[in-house]
Amino acid sequence: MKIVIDWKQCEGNGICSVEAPDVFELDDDDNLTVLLENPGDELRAGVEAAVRSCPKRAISLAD
Amino acid sequence: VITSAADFTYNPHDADVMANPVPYYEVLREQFPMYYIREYDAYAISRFEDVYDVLSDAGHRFTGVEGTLMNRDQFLVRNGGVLPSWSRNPLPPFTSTDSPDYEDLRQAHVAPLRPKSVALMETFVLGIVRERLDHLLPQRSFNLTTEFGGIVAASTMCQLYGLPLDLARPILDMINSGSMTDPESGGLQAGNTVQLARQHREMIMKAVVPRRAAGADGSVPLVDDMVNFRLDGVRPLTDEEVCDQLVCVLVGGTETLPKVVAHGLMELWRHPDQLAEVRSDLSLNARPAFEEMTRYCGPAQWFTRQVREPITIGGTELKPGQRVILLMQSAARDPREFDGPDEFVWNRPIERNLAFSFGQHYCVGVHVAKLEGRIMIEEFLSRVHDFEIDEAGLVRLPSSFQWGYSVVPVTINDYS
Repeated sequence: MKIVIDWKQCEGNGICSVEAPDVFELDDDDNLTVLLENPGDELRAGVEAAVRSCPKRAISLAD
Repeated sequence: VITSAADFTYNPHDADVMANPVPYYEVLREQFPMYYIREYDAYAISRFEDVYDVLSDAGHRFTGVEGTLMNRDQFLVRNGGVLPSWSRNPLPPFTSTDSPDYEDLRQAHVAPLRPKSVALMETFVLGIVRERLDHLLPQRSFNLTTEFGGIVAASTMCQLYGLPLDLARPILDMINSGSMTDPESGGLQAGNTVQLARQHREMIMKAVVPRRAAGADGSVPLVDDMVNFRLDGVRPLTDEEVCDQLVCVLVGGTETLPKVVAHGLMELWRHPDQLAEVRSDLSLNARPAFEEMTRYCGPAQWFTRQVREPITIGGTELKPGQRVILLMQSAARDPREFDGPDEFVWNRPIERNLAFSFGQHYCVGVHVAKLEGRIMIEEFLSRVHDFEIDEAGLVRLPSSFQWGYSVVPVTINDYS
């Protein structure tokens, strides 16, 4: 699966970094950093939770 | 009282609705999911999916510029297709503005509320919670809402605002008096909204004036970042404007959480099997238990938005200037989203949670609330081995908006 971020929407609420900390992180300036752009299937549950709970619906998955 | 669907009417300010809105939500969800309130030119939206669609509309077809929590007097004046704009001098609270000012003002004071900063508050919150329990448990009987959660939440706000902790009690009293409504008219009991806004401003001024005088060097980031904000990169805000931007966090951070935690602990007491399960591994289970408490025990009944551009929701065409009343607690009890929604289940799967809203006005303090909620549940249940709630003493005052338990009397039978 490939992570796609709508950067116009993201405002760094950081919900994703709680749901999937191996994949999403806020850097020291509170900007979102995607640590793994193509995370393995073992991280799918957390990533899908991040997609669902992003309050700006800024995260989607390509395949 | 609801007698039949034929003569069913709903208005959030109706005395019977304010006394107990839950039966109305079921009728609305099943029969009138887009219920039009003519005198308000507003649709009451009760199904989870429709509420979710409004809140998360990426096309920016809704706004909160007329207020995310409108009172009856505001509703009674129709917009006639034209939405109000907002003053830029002086600026109103950011929650009554829209893009791009909304985002600029929100982002300007959100840094201390992000996950990494909030994680650093763990020691402070843990200390306050333990101190409260040391003080309260020997008394054996107390009000769980105000004396436990209320003081913890208000103290956490003092910490964020750089205020002395002895202001926690006055802050709590001020905010609780603000959410009392008249059971007949639905209006504010504590005078009008102007007077309440003045009280908020006076309290927050105690944080802002000293921070500006001290140079606002960033050591109290919530206040300092707002003092250092420049509108359009140029104009600093006046002290009054800074205060108004900081009302949202103070009220939001004090009003709701104590009611959620007190009600939630009562639900665990009502379900001894669930209480035992949660106790079996508190450090792991406090988090999901709090999540279910936010779904099941949320006191905020609804929020408003206004239509900016035509959009169809729930099969109904909405026109610019019309209002929507998003019935959050109805959405939280929608069986289309949650199995057996009227049951409290501490570890139920919650795929989508609207307890902190969604979209533009998503709760700015979500991480603080989750930290406090988790710690309060974990510490209370690890110290208190046996407790009971005096249900005859519960107080849940009629309210159009904050319908939650202001008094949850607890008796401590055994603690360590």
